[in-house]
Amino acid sequence: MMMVLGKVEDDEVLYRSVPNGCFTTADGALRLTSTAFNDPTQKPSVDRAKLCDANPAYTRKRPTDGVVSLTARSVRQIADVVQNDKHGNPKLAYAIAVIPDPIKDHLILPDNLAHAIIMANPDFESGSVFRKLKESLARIASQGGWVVEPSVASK
Amino acid sequence: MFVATVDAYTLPAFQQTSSNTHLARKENDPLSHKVKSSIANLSLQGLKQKLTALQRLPENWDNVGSAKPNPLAISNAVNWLEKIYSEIVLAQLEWRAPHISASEAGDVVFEWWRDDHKLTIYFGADQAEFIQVWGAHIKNEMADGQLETAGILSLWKWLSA
Repeated sequence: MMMVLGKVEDDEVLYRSVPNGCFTTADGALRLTSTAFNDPTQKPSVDRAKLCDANPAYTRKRPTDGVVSLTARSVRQIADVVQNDKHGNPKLAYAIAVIPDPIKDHLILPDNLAHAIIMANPDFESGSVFRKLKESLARIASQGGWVVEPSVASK
Repeated sequence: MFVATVDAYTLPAFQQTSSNTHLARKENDPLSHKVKSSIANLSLQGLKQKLTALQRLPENWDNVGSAKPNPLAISNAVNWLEKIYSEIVLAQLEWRAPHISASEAGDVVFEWWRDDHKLTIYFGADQAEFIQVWGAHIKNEMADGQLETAGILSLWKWLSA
């Protein structure tokens, strides 16, 4: 496999593993919860399809997880993110980026050269804007449905 | 062959007076209301059990490093669940159970979907905040704020609109 670790192109497909309990299909359609994009560093992880042989099962962390996909373009189009000041006036604008973040020889994590992160530039000052980013990612990723179904359905 | 006939003079009394007809309406049927109330109460108990079960989630429950749900946030969510439920049932609106999960910070998260509308509520140890979502655009298609008891019904009506 040829390694391409540079810029993530707009048309690249990204995979995200979704834990059991972070989705519902109660009304017939897949609905990811915003918590499907939880991340303590506010930089949710994805894998680049072109660097894992377009095999979404590569991204699945546990058998009960499902895997969804989204494109780098759809993530970057979550644009003009604004954080309001205490008077409700727009204060900061963010660009949403998809950055290669290959993992190699990490103390804990296994090697994963397909790894990339979704992040805001500059970093979010408040958690409320990150919450909205998670809402947006969940909505976009839900539209494509599963690329790998979880082995146990969530309620 | 037996043929049933309907005689206007033998119709049950409740169909002959306007007041009884009013009482016979579906929304005034005490049995129906009682059954619905019992079902909703069962649903509430089930949700409280789900909230309690969050306490059993370990650190890194989602494999991305999220914190164990905060017990104070769970307690706050239980209190708010009862308030939200009461407001909706008292207003005779249809109750819908939320999806329950937790954030990376250990907050409890309630989520409801209705067509394109989505309502998310985050419960921390001592606060509750909502996000209304009607599209993917963060600036133009989302709104957020502090949850207050007085605002519950308007959020619920928006969700159902």
